[in-house]
Parts: sequence; structure tokens; C-alpha cells
Amino acid sequence: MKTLAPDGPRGSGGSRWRLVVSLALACAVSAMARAGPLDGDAAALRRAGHLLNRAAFGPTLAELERVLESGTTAWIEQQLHPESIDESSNDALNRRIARLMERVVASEDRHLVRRGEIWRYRKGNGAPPRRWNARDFDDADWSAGQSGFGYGDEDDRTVLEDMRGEYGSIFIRRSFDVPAERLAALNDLVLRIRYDDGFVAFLNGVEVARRNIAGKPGTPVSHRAFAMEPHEAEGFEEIDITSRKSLLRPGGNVVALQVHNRSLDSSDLTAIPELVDRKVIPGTERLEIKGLEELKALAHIHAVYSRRQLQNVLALFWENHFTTDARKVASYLDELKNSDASDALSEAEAVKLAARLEHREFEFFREHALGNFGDLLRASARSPTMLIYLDNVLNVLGNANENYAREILELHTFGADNGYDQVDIEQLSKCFTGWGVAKCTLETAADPHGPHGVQVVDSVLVAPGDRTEASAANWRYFKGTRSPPSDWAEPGFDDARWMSGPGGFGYGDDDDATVLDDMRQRYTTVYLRKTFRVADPGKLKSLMLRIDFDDGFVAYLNGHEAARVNAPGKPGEPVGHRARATANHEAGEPETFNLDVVRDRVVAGENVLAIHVLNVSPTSSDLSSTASLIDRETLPGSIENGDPNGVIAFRFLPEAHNATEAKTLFRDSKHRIELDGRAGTRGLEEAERAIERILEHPSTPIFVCSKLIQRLVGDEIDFRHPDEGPWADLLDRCVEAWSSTEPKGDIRRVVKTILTSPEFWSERAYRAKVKDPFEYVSSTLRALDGETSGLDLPESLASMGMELFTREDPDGWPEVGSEWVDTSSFQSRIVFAQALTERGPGSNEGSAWDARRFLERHGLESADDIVGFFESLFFQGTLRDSDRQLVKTFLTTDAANRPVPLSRERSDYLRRVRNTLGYMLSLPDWHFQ
Amino acid sequence: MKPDRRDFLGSAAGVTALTLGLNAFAPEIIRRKLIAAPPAPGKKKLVFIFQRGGMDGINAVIPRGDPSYSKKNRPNLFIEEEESLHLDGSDSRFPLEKELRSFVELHPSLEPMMEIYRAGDLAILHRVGYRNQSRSHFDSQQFYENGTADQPKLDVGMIYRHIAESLDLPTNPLAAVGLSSKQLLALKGPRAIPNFSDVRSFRFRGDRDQNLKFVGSAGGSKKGGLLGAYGRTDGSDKPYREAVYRTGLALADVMAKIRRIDPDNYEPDNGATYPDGDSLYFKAKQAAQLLKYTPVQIIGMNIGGWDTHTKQGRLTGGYPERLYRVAHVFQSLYRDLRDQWDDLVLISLTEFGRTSKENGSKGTDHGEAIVMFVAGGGVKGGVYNAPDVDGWMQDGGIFSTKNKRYLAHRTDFRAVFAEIFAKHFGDDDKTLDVVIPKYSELVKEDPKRFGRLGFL
Repeated sequence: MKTLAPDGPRGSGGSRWRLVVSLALACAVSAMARAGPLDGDAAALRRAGHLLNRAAFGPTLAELERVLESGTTAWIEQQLHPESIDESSNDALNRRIARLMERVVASEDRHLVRRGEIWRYRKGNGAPPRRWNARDFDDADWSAGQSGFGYGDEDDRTVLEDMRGEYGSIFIRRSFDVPAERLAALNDLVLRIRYDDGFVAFLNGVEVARRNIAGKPGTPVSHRAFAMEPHEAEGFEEIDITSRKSLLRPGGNVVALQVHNRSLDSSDLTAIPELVDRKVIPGTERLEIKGLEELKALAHIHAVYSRRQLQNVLALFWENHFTTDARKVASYLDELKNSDASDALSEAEAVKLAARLEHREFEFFREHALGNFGDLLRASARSPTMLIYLDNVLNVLGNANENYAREILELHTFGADNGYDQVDIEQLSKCFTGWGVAKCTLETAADPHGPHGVQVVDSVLVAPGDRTEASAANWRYFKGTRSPPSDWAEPGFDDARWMSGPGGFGYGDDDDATVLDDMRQRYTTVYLRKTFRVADPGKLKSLMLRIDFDDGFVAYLNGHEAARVNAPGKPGEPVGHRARATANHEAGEPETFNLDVVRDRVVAGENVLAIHVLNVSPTSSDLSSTASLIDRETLPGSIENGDPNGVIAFRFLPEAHNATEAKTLFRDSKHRIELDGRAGTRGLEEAERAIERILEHPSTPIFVCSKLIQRLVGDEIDFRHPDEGPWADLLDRCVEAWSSTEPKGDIRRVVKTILTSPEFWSERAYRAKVKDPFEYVSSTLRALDGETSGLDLPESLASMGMELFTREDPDGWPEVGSEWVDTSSFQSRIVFAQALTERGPGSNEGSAWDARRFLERHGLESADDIVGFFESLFFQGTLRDSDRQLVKTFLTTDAANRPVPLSRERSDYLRRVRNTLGYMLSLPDWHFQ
Repeated sequence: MKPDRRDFLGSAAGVTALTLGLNAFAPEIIRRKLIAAPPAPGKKKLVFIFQRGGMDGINAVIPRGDPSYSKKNRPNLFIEEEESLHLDGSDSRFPLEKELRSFVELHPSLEPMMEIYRAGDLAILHRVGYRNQSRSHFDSQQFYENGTADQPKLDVGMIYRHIAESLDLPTNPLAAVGLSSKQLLALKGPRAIPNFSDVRSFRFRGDRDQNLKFVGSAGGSKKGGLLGAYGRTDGSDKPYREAVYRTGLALADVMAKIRRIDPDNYEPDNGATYPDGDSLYFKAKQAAQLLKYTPVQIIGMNIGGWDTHTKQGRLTGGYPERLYRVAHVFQSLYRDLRDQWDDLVLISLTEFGRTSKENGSKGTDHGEAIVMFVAGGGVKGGVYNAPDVDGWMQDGGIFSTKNKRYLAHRTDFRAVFAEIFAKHFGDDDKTLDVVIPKYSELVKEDPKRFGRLGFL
């Protein structure tokens, strides 16, 4: 076998090799390229290039020098022990990482003003009265509405339908009480606000915050003013106004805002302000990734600037091996509710939390990249992102979901159809029932049996009723064949002549206590009323409507609209008796709606809950409405899904675990294992034992080592016949290395076996792999010592067909080169190389290259210098003669192929060098590694 | 069989078509390709839409009357009789122009398809699949795209092989296009089939002169720039070398040819619409222009999101929305390409159907037989493999596989493609055996499942 044998250190000091790389290589390149035999300086350079293409994200000049200085063996040894490489002084890396992170502290928050409360508001179609924001201003003639305010983006409870094109601002006020004792105990004061596009906020008439509005703080802002630039309401911004808390006084206070749009015809406006009394919990400060784009950028930053290259190559390998999709995680989190049935997280908050969970997982993979495979598998199985992504959170007793059980075998350990079958998947999925995620405190996050979530006590104010109930306790109902009086939902309305029946109204699906068997074809809506008594409204905790419905409804409390689903028209508008639901909705799973917005409407004594139920069409086969009204108390020690202090963590939920059935895995083989059903918290052990058996199974090292060989050496592996092909012997040795330790699966040993093998250094493996987009982008930036924040790279990568952390399919990005060879991704690669080489320092368009500095630092001036130098750096002397000539021609001719001398004196000098580098990085050979 | 690289390279005379050489019959393809004279270019066309993730065929083409298609088995997905579209002419909204009757019914989201069905130009192929169904997305997609049912790692696509055999790729590199930012496996092969998702950004940077120099076509020469570098093949036996050179050449070449395609200023014919903001509609719009204004004959595209394990959606939601989009694309291409409708076949396919019973998450899991839609001027409309309830129920209906979980297939997907390749494009038996590995053997072994359905 022809090889590029690994070598020992060359020369004692660094100076000789530095010289070779910087000068001799630059000038004597063509000689080397033709040198052919695999010894001597040319071969040493090729070896270094090969190693850096596989065990790193491509050569940089500095790293080439290091390999040449220390020899490949020592370099590999150092990279196998990343902790031996000091990164604390790697400023290029650390300052870029710092920009992607933010400081987070835990706190206890108590709301002074909460979203959804009733504010007074005034449209900005004229100047507001003087002192409109003062504490004692009389706003009795202003309109009242719940926050948030706005239009156009469906996040507003008070919708300003007429705003677009008519007026550009609104003025809002909210009075709130702060008792003296609470004022004295007040901690930090925070204005939490979601806004679009700008605002000025006042506390008792004094400005406390201003965003995106021109003018110094304190200067008055006209109602005609516009926000300075667009600002989309994504997450809540938190503005610390603790320094202004002396403005608060005991008793009544007023928070007021003027909110301004970017332009009259802007498509949306939003203002959702909250005022929070915040107590920061000491010692809880931590760094978290800012968001999903920052997480993607972080992977790029490590690849380009970290000196622990092998660790990062493998970190990304494991991330891809155990791939998850942050978008699926985010949409799961987005659906979480708090115990009062309010949304726990906005969409933006859900994406951010998903990114943090992905980040935690990614850091684990980095930390253990050269560790033990079993640790990776166990961590991945318990990782909230994996539990959500492969639906283990839905895998519960009686409703097994096979998704994770299939992929842990097919993709994470055995390989497709390699030692298991459908029965094993079904059995294994039962083992994993009860594995889920829950919200918990940071302290208890690591304990799968630890406390989590919310404990509540529900008091039922209105029961759904049952078939046996006496008529006095029954609901009243009125068929929508004609319209009832307009005050039908009011407490004072006399419903004595309405019919009565037990709650649970409808037809057609056998779930109704009062069957409306004449409804189909005759009427589409039905009116319901139920009176209930409340002794002391002040003692109500959290008011909620739980309703199982088909297809839509509007609910009223004492005549005030409280909830609305699939009803035509706008919130607050009554719905006619002939109306139809705007969409189909099946009953079966009751939904809960927070009614805190009408809690103030509950009076001592008699109250009424009224519901107008809507069918989607006269011919619909069914209708349902089974409703109850609940007062919910949350017990101490609970943690809400929306609590920013806690974390989403792995939890084993015994009640969801299939403890009764015994399970058998790999039944007709010597790896057979029986897992008896275990009850309670011990149910967790079933899947844990299954994982250990999977780790012991011979299919696991064969598949995982094959993947490592494919990543580091060459693509020629058929996973169905791993004992065939050019790397079969190497695979044997890797499996041996895998099995030589206790516990088995020491990745460092396997990787060392690969990197020091004759196969790795064989001619067959040399430049035989196609770079994937990440490798293409990383190696390009590294070769040029390029400048990047990482933040523009995900978009480039996506255009080449690759997106980190958001791959939809669980098989990870492909390793084989043929997957990346197509015209679209080539076009995107070339455009990336062109753009990068064109952009100079200080470019605000994205990643850039300081060409002048680079050329000066390396003393490059003539066309020969430049072509030779970059050829060594990029291709280590292996570029075809014809390509070298093309590059030289490109550099020394104009657009019409006429020769033009290259000289630093000419104004086109840098531009031509830049364009030529763009061309060099578009050559066929740059796709290879 | 172990790959023999030397033999492979030798026979191919430097055409290192298959970069990996992992499969047994690849060299055979290459040999044949070299011997066969390039066939005369035809004008027959094919557009295929791959529904990634596994489309639930049972809720799309509903076997009404199969007692197992019930609210009990599909509590959250069951489509009522009065909600579905009837194919027996009983629905006054859809009077049939041709005599077509079937007991199955369509999901209401497929309404746009009815225009083609009524005209007798839509064939609905139920119960298509292959033996030993894989329930892995990745394997099963590869089977469908490779035209095999047991060699997942083969990296030349079935449609590609047909293109290589029947269309003149060397003189017309734009014979086929993948409308996707990553090339569809079905279109992958040694001579790069161009692919892009947005023709508007399929450009290099710089002005015209810079571009000419960069591409290497300045002054009429094709020896500089990218053309020079990618055009100089060197007989290297390294993996992927030829593929990379050819891809670079195809890129430079095709980029010039599709300059005229301008999706921003396109007016479709006959009331076809491609609403903005949807990637499938945008691809279909580009497909229509490519078919009208360029020599493209075969176009492939994807629509993802069919892996409906959770909250599949009954009348509203992800699944019904996607069904509608596919149906809308069929309708729009039917209208827009009326002039070439007789030369066009438009098909949809997916890697597997789904469990006949709903799962605990209001969704369905990986299953077996799929539904394909086939439309075109030469298509004999109707529903295939679903003659009447009795025939449907013969083997147990939607629970007809051995383990009684899935719908069993009655026709192998390769028979469907063979019919398209043979009847539409005129491939002879010999060619078919190259395009679909071992096809004639398979027909002999299992004439029932490999017999042609006769939709063309």
C-alpha cells in the first residue's frame, strides 16, 4: 500500500519549518507538486494538509506550521487530549463566543401590572390633553381595553382595526395600587414590554423609558411622531427602571405609555407592557446562548478559530449522529401552558429556549467528544431535545410511539436492519414509555424522579353536569332557530322559559347528556346559561373555563365576553343565531381557557356563565359543548412552564410507564434480554437496561466505528456489508480498540487507531472526500485567516443545502460526497468564496478577508508569489499544472483576456488579487479534502 | 458481490460514473451506456413530485365501505361520507365527462384534482409498493428513487438512468432539472443533472464582463475560468473527481441557458395560479416556464412534511393543507400546460403509506402501500387497484398485511414506472432492464404485482 506514513518531529526549533512554509513553499511549489514520491519536504506538507483536512476543519498557515514542527504523531496526540491545548488565551475564539452569549439570572417576579389587564386608551388622532400621563389625570372618558394593544399580528387583545392609514400612535394608561408595606419591600423594578415599533413610558407622569423614538429622554413627543425604524415584537424586552422606583407612592399609581408606529401604513403595531417587582436570586448568574442563529454561529466559530480542532470535528460529528431539530423542539415548547391555562411561552421565547436546550446538548457532545460512547448515548436518550424530537414525550402507556425506539437502533447504534426487527422496536418503545420532560428548578434538574411542574387544587364553580342531575341544578338552553333577546347572556336575564337539561349539549357523537336531535339541518347555534354562586370574589385564585367543544363557541361571564374560539367576527362582537363556526373542531380533549380577564366581573352572590355554541355547518354530523368553570389554586413548590427561572429537563413519569407488561428484546439471539415490568420509579430501569444491552451488542461498535471511519478516512463503506471494502481491516482494529477498555466504547482509542492507521495515510484516502458545506465554509475561512462573527454563515450554509441544529430528518447530514455534488450547492459555494474574498475589513455585509494585511504579512507581491503561496496553503502542492496556469492567467489578464501586468502600484491590484482568490476557491480541487 | 474498481474503470474507459462502485450492477449500466447510441430526443415530458415523509394514502383516497375505515380506527381522522369527494358521478358539483366510477372517495382537500379527474386525465393508483416494505424513511425513499427494493446505497437514481438511456444528455445537459436546493436522488448520476430551487439566485457575483471571465467564456474561448478548470478531466481515479468536473461544467452551461426564466414576471395560461409565498407553488411555476421555454423534459421536486406522527389534521391542519397544495399544483400545471398536455405525465409519489389505525397522538405511523396520482393527456383516467368494495376487501382491506396493521400493496412501484418509461417515453425492454434493475426477471417471478395497470 502506498502511504503517506505519519512522521515524527522534524527539526528542533520552529524556525526551519516556518521558513519552509512561508518562503520556500511559496516559491518552489511546482517542483514539489511534481516531486511525486512520498517523502521529503513535499510529502511532509501533503501529510500535514491531509491530517488537517480530516482531523481539523482544513489547514491554516499557523496550523500547517505546527504540524510540520511537531510531526503528525505528536500533533495527533495533542489533539486527542484537547485539555492539553490552552484556549483561555485564544482571544480570537473567546471574544467571538462572548458575543453570542448573554448573562441570565434567576429571580422572583411579582407583577404590579400584568398583561391582559384593563387599561384606558386614547387613539393618537389628535394631541392628548396636557398631563395625560399624570397620576391624578381623569381618564374616565377614555376607552377601556385589555392589553396588549395593536393590530395586524394577532398578538393583541385590544385590536385597533382603524389604526392603519388613520393614525400613527396610541396613548394608554393603567392605574394600580401599591400598598405601603409592599412598596417598602419592593425590590428591582422592571418594565417588561413587547412592542412594535417604538414607545415612551411614564411612571406617575415622569418618563422612565424610551425605545426607538427620537429625542432626548424627557423631551415631549408629539402624537404625530413616528418610530425611528421598524421593530418587530418578538420577545419581551426587560428594562430595568429600579433607579426610578422612588416615583412610586403608597396607594394609587399610574403607568402610561405612548406607542408609535413606524409609518401610517405599517402592517402592524403592538404594545404589551408589564410592570414587575423583581427580586434577583443571588448566585444564579449564568451564561446562555442568545438564540438559535447564535448557536449555529457558535459551531462555526469553534470550527474556524478553536485550536482544539479534533475535539470540534468530533463534537459536530456526534451532534449530527444524534441529530435533533430545534424547530420541532420549539413548536413543542410553544404549546406548553401554565396552570392558569395561559400560554407559557411566546413563539420567540420557545425558539430561544429550544436553542438553549440544543446548546446544552451540543456542549455535552463537545466535552465528551473523545470520551465514552455509552455516555453520549445515555445523555442523548435523556436529552430534552431528543425526547421531544423523536416523540418519546408522546410515548406513553397504552399509546406507544415507536419513533425513538426505531431510531436509537437504526441510526444511533446498530444501523438499519442490523440485528433487530419490528418486534424489537415495539418492545423497546414500551420500555421507553414514561420517559418525558417537565419543568423543574435548576437544582433538581438532574434527578429524573425529582419534583417538577405544578400542583393545583381545583374548585368547581360550574360543573359540566351529568345525566342524573336534578333539574334545578341544570343548565338552561335555547335553540338558535331564532334570536334570543340581546341581553341573553346578562345576569339579570330571565331564562325561566328556556328549556333545561344537564350540561353536555350536542348530538351525533354519543358524548352528550342533553341531545339536540333536531339540530342537524335546522339550526347551527345553541345558547346555554348556567347560574352559580360565589361567596367572596376576592378569594378567587385563577378563573378558568374548561370546555370540550365541537366546533366553536363564545363564552360570557355576567355578560362580558370571556373566551372565543372559531367564532365569526371580532372579539367582543356578538354572534348571530344563524352563524356558523369558522373552522372544524372535534371534541374529545377538553381545552382550558384562562378567564382572569373577566375575574373582576365576578360578584358576590349570583353570577352567570353563558355560552353560545356554534356548529360548522347545518349538515355537520355532530356538535358538542361540555363546559365547567374552575377556580384553580396553585400550591407552593410548584414551578410553572413559563417560569424563566426553571429548566425543561428529563423526567421519568411512572404513571405513563407500561409497568405491567414484560418485554423481550433480540429474542432469537444470544443477546436476548427480558425486562420484567417494573412499577413506580423503578420503571426507569427497563429502558436503562435496554440501553446497556444495546451498548454491549456487537452491532453497535461495528456501526459507530464504520461511521467514524467514513468521516475520517473515506466514504467507501456499505453499512450492510461492513466487512467488505477497503476499510474492512481498519474496522476490525477499531472494533478491537472499542472493546479493549472497560467500559467499552472509548472514542479516543478508536480515533487514535484510525488516525495512526496505514489506511488513513494511504494514497487511496488522500483528497478522496468531498467537503460538506460546513467543511467547505470552515476550510475557506481558515485558509484565508478570514474574519467572521459566524452570524452570516448559517444563511450561506443553508443555500448550500445544510442547516445545523434544524435538520428535519433524524439521519443527520450525509457524510458521503455524492450527496453534496450538485449544481445548486456548487453555485452557492462559489458565490460564498467570491463574496468572502471581495469583502474587506470592516464590511458590514458579513464575513470578510483583509487581503492587504494578509499579503503584506507574508511578503506577497508578484503574481508568481501569490499563486505559489496560496497553492501551497490550499492544495499543498497538488494542484494540476493546468489549473495553476489558469489561476495565473486569471490574475494577469483583464476581462477580455488581454494581459495586464499585476503591480501594487496599480489601482486594480487588490481587486484582482481578491477576484483571483475567489476563483482559486472555486476550483474543482477545493471541493476535496 | 465485492466491487472491482479496476474492472469498473477499465470498462468505462475513464468514465468513472459511479463514484463509489459499491453496487453490483452499476458497471453494467455504464458499459451499456457506452455501447448504446444516443437515442433521438423525444418531446415527451415527465414531472414528478416526491412527498417526503410518507403520505397517508388512506385518508387521501378513502376506501368507503371498508368496514375498518371507521371512526373507531381513526377517531380523529375519519372523514365523513358527506365531507369527501365522490368519484362515482353522484356529486352534482363534479359531473363526469367520461364514464369513470369508483367506490373510493377523495379527501375534500383534493378538490382541485377533480377538474382533471372529470376530464378523464387523472389516474389514481392505490396500493402501490414493494415486497418487504422498509419502514425507514431513508431506505424506502432510496428504494423508490433508485428503482430497487433492496439496495439502499446505490447512488444513481432510477429517473436518472432513464434520462441517460433515453434522452441525449451530452448535447442537452438541460434535459432534466431538479427543482431543489439539494439534488433529488432519483436524478443523481454521473452526468450532473442541474438543480436549483430558485432560478433568480442561480447566478455568480460580478458584472457581465467579470462573469464572462469567471465562467471562462470571454472572447468565445471556453478554455479559461471555470470552464477551463472543470472542463479538463484528467483521468484521475480518485472518487468523485468526474462527478465534480461534470457538475461544474453543467453549472456554467445551464446558468447561461436559464437566464430567460423570470418567475417574477410570468403570466400563466388558462387561469392557472401559483400563489406567492409557498415554495411548492414557486417550484411549479418555474417548472411550467422551464417546460414552455427550454428543452427540459423531466423535472423533479419535493414537498416535505408528510411524516404525520402527531396531529395529522382531519379537515384542517398540516396534512389537509399539504394535500391541497399538491392538488393545486396538479390543477395549475394541467391548465397552464394545456398546449403540451398530451406530451406530459405528471405524477406524485411517497416512500410509504401509514398505519391504517390512528396512533395515540392523533396521527399515523409508518405503513406500507402508497397512493400515486398520475395525470396527463395520454392517461386513462380512473382509480386503479380499487375496483369495488368486494375486490378491495378480498385480502382484508386496509388491514391486509400479514400482521394486520397496514394496507398491503398490489402493484409494485417499478411496474408503474415501467409503464411510464415504456408507454410514454417508448423505452424498449432492454432499456427497461437497465433503468429498472432486473425488471424482466421480476416480471417473470411475480407477474401479478409487476403486471402493468394500463393507465397509459
